[in-house]
Amino acid sequence: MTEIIRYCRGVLQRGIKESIKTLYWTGELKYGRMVGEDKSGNRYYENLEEVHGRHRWVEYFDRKNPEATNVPPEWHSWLHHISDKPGEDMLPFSPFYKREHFKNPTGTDGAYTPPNFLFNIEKAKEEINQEEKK
Amino acid sequence: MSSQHLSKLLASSFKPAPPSSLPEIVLSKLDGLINWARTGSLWPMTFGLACCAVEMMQGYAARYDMDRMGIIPRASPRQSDCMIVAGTLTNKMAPALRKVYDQMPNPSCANGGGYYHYSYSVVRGCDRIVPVDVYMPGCPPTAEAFVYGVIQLQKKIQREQNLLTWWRK
Repeated sequence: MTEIIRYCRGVLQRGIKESIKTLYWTGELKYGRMVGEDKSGNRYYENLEEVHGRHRWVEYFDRKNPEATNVPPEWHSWLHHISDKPGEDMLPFSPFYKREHFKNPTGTDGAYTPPNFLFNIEKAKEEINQEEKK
Repeated sequence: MSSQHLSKLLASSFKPAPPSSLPEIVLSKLDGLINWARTGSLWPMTFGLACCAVEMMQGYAARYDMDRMGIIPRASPRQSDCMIVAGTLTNKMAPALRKVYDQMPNPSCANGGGYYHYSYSVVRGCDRIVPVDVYMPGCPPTAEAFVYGVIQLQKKIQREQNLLTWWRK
């Protein structure tokens, strides 16, 4: 019974079309208080009535390709119960040498290859650009 | 295409050209179907060798529950799609690893590196014996890292376009 009520509240929170999509891509329909949203559009929710350990969660902007490294460090601390402050309040604590956060570039053009590696992607991209200029 | 350097192919291969003609569209859809089936039931051959195997067991157990992604450990290499080499591969174990790898029908591989890298009795990385797709950092990698690595392997399978490349070649 509680499960049915939980699902109904989940549908009430986001509407029928959205909840079908959420059920399809995540396999779960949770409801809760939206705590915030980060730069890349991921949304962070909290519901203290859930089972302990599952009461904070993220809904990714790109639902079809969920990628855990999408979560920036300031929200990571909130999501993993390192701090109770949401992302915006954690930003002042970030060190001065922090670079801008990006997700794991493996399998994309931004992937790292060693500089003298035969199949260095950076060099190849430069060569392709030069050929296009000609 | 044969005169082109491999690195350029690699750099351009991450953004594949969209299918244009009708057979290409059909083949790319078939590719999608095959990739969906392969990612949906990735059965790993568990090659647990050391402490990493304990983390692997955690990954299969109730908390991280890799069964929900269709990943079921198989005891027989003939039924498995990929092999997870969890732990230090010693010289004595290396022939056995190679034998198991050769018995697999369509192998791909995931691996953890090594804390015992410089020991005299250790093969320095199992990529000297079998081709490796995913490397997991950590000694041992945490169960989270392990699950993440397996998801990376699934993503790698999803990027494959075997039929389309066969048609274009």
